[in-house]
Parts: sequence; C-alpha cells; structure tokens
Amino acid sequence: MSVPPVQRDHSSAAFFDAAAEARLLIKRCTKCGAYGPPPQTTCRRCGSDTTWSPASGDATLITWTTTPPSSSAPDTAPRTFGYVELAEGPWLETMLVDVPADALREGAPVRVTFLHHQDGEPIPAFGLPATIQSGATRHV
Amino acid sequence: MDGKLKVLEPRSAIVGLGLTDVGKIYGRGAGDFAADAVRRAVSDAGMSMTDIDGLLVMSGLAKGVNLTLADTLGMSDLALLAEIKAYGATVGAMIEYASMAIAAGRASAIACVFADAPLRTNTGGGAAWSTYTTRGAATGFASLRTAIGLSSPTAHYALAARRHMSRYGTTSEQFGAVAVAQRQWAQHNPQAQFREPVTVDDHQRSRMVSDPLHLLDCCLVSNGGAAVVLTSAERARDLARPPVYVWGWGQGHPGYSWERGSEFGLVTGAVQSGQAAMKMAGVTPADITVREIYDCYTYTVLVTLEDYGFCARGEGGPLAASGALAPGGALPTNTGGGQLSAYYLVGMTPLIEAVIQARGDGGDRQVADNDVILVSGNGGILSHHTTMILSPQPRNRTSET
Repeated sequence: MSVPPVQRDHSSAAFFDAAAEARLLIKRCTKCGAYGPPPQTTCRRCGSDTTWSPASGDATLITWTTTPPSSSAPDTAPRTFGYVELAEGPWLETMLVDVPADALREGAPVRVTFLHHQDGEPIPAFGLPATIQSGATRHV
Repeated sequence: MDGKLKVLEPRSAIVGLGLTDVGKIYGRGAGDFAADAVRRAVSDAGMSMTDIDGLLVMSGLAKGVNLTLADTLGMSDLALLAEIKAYGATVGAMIEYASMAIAAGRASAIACVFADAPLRTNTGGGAAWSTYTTRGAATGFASLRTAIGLSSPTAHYALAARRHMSRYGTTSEQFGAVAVAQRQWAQHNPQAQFREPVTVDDHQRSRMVSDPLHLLDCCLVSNGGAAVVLTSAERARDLARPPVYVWGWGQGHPGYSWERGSEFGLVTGAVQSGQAAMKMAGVTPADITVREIYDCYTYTVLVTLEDYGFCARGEGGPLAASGALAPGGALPTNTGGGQLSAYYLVGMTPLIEAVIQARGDGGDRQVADNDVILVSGNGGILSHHTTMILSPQPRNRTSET
C-alpha cells in the first residue's frame, strides 16, 4: 500500500514519539479528567487545558467506507476507512487494515496497530484484534 | 435562546433572479459568470446597477469571485460589501445578513452572488473536484487524514450515510429513491444537466464511489453563476417581478463531539437552523408546501428531512421509497432536480428553484401549492446549516417573541 509520509510538527511530536514505540496517546483534561482526541488542546466539558495520556488501543467500530481504486491507479487495493471509538471514549478517524467486508459492522471490536513509513512518522491504524498482536507494527 | 432573542419582523423580499448558462460551459472564468449573474438579477428586478447599494459574494472551488466584482460591475459608494464563507451554508447566511441589513436600514438593495468554474474540457467532475481539494498535506495531525487517503467529501459523507444505515436500517435502494425522484423533477427543468430518467436499478449499477455511495448518490459539478437581489418588502411591491418574501431564517453549527455519544450521521444542524427559521416565520413542518433541500448526496436529503420533522427519525428512507418526494407525491422536494440532477451551484441551486416556484414560473414542474417554501443549506461535512422560509405572500401575522 502506498501512503505519503506524515511529518511531525510541534503539537504532534509527543504523539509520534509514542507511536514509534507502538503506544497510542490521546488527550486528557488536567482538571476534570475527561478524555479527548489527540489534537484537542482544550477540554470540551470544562474548558481547562489538556495533557497527553496513554490509551489502551482497544476500540469499537462506529462507521466505515470502502473506496475502490481510482481510475488513475486501477491496480491498487481498495481502502477502508472508519471512525473508531476508543475504550476511553474519543473517536479516531483511521484506516482499517485487513478487516474483511463481512466483519465490518457497527460495534465490531478493533485494536490499534502502527504503520511504519520509510520517510515519515508511524501512522496509527486499526484492525481486528485476532489479526493484530499487541505492540506489533507493519511497514507501508 | 427562548426569551432572549427578539424575533425580527421579516422585512425583505427577493425581487431579482439571475442564472447564467450552467453545466459544461467552458472558456469562462468564475468572475465572468458572477458578473453575468448579477447583471441578469438586477435586470430581472427591473432595477439599474446604480440602484444596488450592497453586494455579498461567494467563491467556489476555482475562486475568482471576490470584492473586485464591484469594480467590474461599475458599482460605487456601496454601503455593504463582503465575501461570505460558510461552504454550502453560505447562501442562507447571505440572505440572512442581507435581510438584517435591509431591516436595519443600512442598505436598500443588495445583490448576493455565487459562481464557480471548476470544470475543464478534458476532465470529469470528480477529477475537477479533486484538483482543488486534495492539495498537499499540512504537517502533524492534519496530514494524517491526507496520508491515509481519507480526503474526499464523498468518503466522509459515506461514513455518515453508513452510520444512518447501521442505526436505522436505511438502505442503498432508499438513497436511490431520492436520486430517481429528483431525476423525475429534472425532466421538466430545461436548465437541468441530466434529464434522462433513471431507475433504482440504474442507481444500484452506477459506479461505487465510496461505499455505500454510488455515483448516482453524488451531486454534479457545474460551471456557472447565480445571483439574487433583495430589497425591502415595501419597495418589492413596485418592481418588475412578483416578490418572494423572506419569512424566516436560521443557522445551526452543531460542532459534533468526536467521542462516545456523538450524533454524527444521525442528526444534523438542520434541527437548530430549522427550528429557528420556522419559529421566526410562524410555521410548522405541516405548513411547508415545497422543500428545496441541500443535496450534496442523496443521504443528505433523507437526514435533513428527518431533522426538519417531515418524518420521524430514521424514517427518511421509507419516506423516499414511498414516492412522496417525487412529482405527484405528498411532499414535493427538490422540484428542479436539485444538485443531484440539475446543476451544482453550492446552495444557490435550492434557492433559485424556490424563487422559480414561488413566482409560479415552474412550467411543467410547477407545484400547485407554493405558499410556504423551505430552503436548506449544508456546508462542510454536515458542519454548517441554514434554513430559509420563503413565500409569495407577505407575512401579516404578528411575530412572537
């Protein structure tokens, strides 16, 4: 699968440092403890600052779409994207890897994996727990 | 908002309509279409360009519509001039801001215009769109979306549509019923880009763009421009064409939470914008006789009809499958074929058709009861919403507070 490289910036550096060690970080409110998605700087509930917090990497599938190869690249594989709901509550927009079509359903358990890229940062993706070993990575 | 927001007495009317040639019209830039549309709208109103003292502009994918349009049109000493951007909700916002400026006495005749020219002779609609939307990534989190390839609006609307299907049992065939109904309307619209009939089977066989959305679930891409002129309800009575009175307006920007309990795909900001507009107009969904619903995708029509209360939550699919939205149905919807079949002018499409219906100019597609017309806008990925209530009748009811 061909994926363009992702480059870190100031606000995402800690996230990608953890991703390189196969750890998923999300945000957590320093005051009320509510979890939020990785980019969120301010708590949705109480308006306080957030800080990085580890996530378990376990999630459930909310919704998904499969996009066929484009006419300009007909030999590439279809890609499946989705929203997953982390066990801690936040949703992530993500690539789904090796999930067969008949396993795509609302509520299906999925787990994080990290796609390692030669020229860029690791990219979090999700797949079925049975096909993803804890801490395992793959290359794109 | 109850008790705090004093409901304005509606004081504006749409008095001019300008629609250029639309579709695969090549060799003209967006700025050219915009100037053409404004000139047509002002002429349609029986006004002169020197009568116009306000201009609101909206640019599309190809850009090129900006404040220099005033110079192109030879306008001087404008009291109001701005570019407005709320994506597919822009047109509703323009009508709201123009109506408020007229009610406040800060401008007397305001033109609102949108134009775009993304199509080139050698590309299809999808390619034209992606040329402008899949430019290089930013860094950090913003680049993740681009890197994994989840950058097209169709993929994001597919995620919303799939969630509606999972939750309510909505089917692809029910989405197809929306496309079929709108094509039936388009058959009677001489300005529609696609007028040949389609069936649900055609919809099912059309190319899969981003599962569950087929090609016939998606709006067109068009070159062209559209403009309207608004003035006060009092002045509107003495102009060339029958006034279309603005009874109410509303906006809604839900700011979905991206976490457990999110209503993404199930409920949209049309709830908020619709309730505000209908309250201002003093109407309920049962009073609405024509619906012009923003239709970037078939799914959007279904969920928006639910949001407005034309059917129960989750019943949009069965409603479309019943034929209620089609010509002869109980709930005439997108009576010119909409953005799925007629032309895509980002929110001007439903407004233009509403004005045509309110004036009784719909020809073979004219709806008999055009008394109360609802127009919706939807921008971003279900992010920004507007609702307008229009009528050929002046509104005489006393406003509630």
